Amino acid sequence: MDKARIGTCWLDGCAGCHMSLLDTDEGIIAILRKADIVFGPLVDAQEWPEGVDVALVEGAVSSQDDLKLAQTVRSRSRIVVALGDCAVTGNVPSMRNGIPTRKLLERIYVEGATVCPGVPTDGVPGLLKQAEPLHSAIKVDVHVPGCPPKANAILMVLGDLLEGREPDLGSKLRFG
Amino acid sequence: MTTGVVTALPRVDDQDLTDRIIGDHVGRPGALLGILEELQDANRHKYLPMETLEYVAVRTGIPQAQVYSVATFFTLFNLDPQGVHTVAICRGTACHTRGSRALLQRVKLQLGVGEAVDAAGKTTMTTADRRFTIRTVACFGQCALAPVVEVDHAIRGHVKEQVLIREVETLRKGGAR
Amino acid sequence: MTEKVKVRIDGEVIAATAGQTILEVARTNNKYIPALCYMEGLSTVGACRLCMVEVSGVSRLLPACTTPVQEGLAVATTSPQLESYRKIALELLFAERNHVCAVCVSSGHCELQTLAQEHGVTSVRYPYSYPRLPVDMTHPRFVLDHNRCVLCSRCVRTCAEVEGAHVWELAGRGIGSRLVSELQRPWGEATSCTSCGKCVQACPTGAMAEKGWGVEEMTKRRAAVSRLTSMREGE
Ligand code: SF4
Ligand code: SF4
Ligand code: SF4
Ligand code: FES
Ligand code: FES
Repeated sequence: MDKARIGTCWLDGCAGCHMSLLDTDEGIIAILRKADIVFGPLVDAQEWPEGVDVALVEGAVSSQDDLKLAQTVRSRSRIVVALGDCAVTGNVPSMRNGIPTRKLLERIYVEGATVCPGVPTDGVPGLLKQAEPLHSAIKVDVHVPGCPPKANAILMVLGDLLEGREPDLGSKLRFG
Repeated sequence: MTTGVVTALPRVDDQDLTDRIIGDHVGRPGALLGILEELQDANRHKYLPMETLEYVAVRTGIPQAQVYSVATFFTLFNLDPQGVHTVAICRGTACHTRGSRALLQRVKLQLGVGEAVDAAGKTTMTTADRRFTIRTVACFGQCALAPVVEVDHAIRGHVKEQVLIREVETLRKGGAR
Repeated sequence: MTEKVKVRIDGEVIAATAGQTILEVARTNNKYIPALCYMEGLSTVGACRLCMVEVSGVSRLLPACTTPVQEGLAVATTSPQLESYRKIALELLFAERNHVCAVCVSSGHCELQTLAQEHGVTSVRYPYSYPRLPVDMTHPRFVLDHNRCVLCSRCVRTCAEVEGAHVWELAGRGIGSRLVSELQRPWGEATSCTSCGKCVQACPTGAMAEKGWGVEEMTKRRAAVSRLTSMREGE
């Protein structure tokens, strides 16, 4: 049987969910027997490949680039998992949402700057008006909240998905 | 149920009148509503200043928070001074679909006031010279006449933009007061 | 006076006293009905709608915390329909304010968070409203964070009914409703506040907390507030 293909990526997040994924320790070996990781920070691939079975997406949708990547992930993956509170609820990144983006950028890059004040425009993606949960941008199949989600919750979800079961977090469901 | 905290009576414009109004109602069911309504009516700018609310609380023994809660729950009450003329534009569903948003925008432009939400979350805007207050209403219950606008307590139905603007202009020219 | 009645909760026949609410009877008999605005020892307001139950012969759902039992009443505490409504109610509470459990003093000890977990709320299907709300730090010992307030009014009732100070009320209406102290004065300037801290203990979420605690550190002694009222009733 062909191995399943897992991709992981992070949008507006802190990498904590990916750390939790690493925290699965030897649990990841059981997963890797059934699947390959074809995209993610641990993999060389430059572009999200076609034909991904399970996509783990960390982080809120905050910038033009986030949005583009989320859409690519959706169009090339069978099951999209929102991994962690930022992807599920917007979490900490969304705390800026009550503030107009211009004011926000000026506060940080002009008023808050000690050297070279000025809002950067070159080589950085434009900020969206608000940082939103993943499901406000694309269709999400599975939500795994937690900040970060516990390693055993991630393992359980991945295990279920690779076996073709619908994951039920049950008592492992946890925000924050 | 008092707190044991003695609060000094705040200063109100016309203490005798205020006391009389409170005295007329106190002890009756729904007294607070009646008191606030009459006090607002007696106020020159048709509103309830904070000092008045505090005065009512101290005099009646009703907790301040409860007085404030009532004064902000009913759209009838104003916590800010009102203009001489009031234009109330309905933003209910029927009136919305018949263009009440455009009416609101147009009158705001005409009178030069921006968006404003008061402490209680109501949309009310008063011109700097206090001649006009524009406010929104959830529904006048006259939906068949949508869009509905109330100008100085007179209900107008099927309001057209040009007609409303002319009416406001007439009031505006109606001499200083 | 204390007329005995027989009711059925999820099929089981239970003896109760007329005038008790469905929720009280369920609780004393270890039957679970979720509740948020209800707190033992306070008056009931039926604000959160999480305790809705099905009563046979009644076509609409009834709040268990405000509905008194009668002879022969038959209640279902759970059903697919009830579960879906409870989820909706919880999701709307999250959508209405800014809940960021990851940085909340009450995370891990929060009734809203626990309810969401128990009811399998894995995400919020409604658009968040992201209101801009203040945090009142003016009181020397306590904080009020409107971002986390679910308008359950437990603090209002605790302060009015248990402490007798009545510092709090809900002001405004609809989505614009806010908890206010006195005439929307900062808490620290509220002259009627005795700084007893009971409201903080009664608050189910991270909206009210003692100063000085970090994320997940604020635990509350709600039972202490309930106990005070039952002691008084016993006097
Ligand atoms: S109040 Fe409860 S639900 Fe809200 S952020 Fe804090 S822990 Fe989470
Ligand atoms: S600390 Fe005590 S008196 Fe002050 S608001 Fe809270 S319950 Fe009321
Ligand atoms: S502050 Fe707490 S107790 Fe008071 S209404 Fe808000 S959530 Fe309820
Ligand atoms: S919607 Fe305007 S009067 Fe009803
Ligand atoms: S507990 Fe019954 S409505 Fe809140």
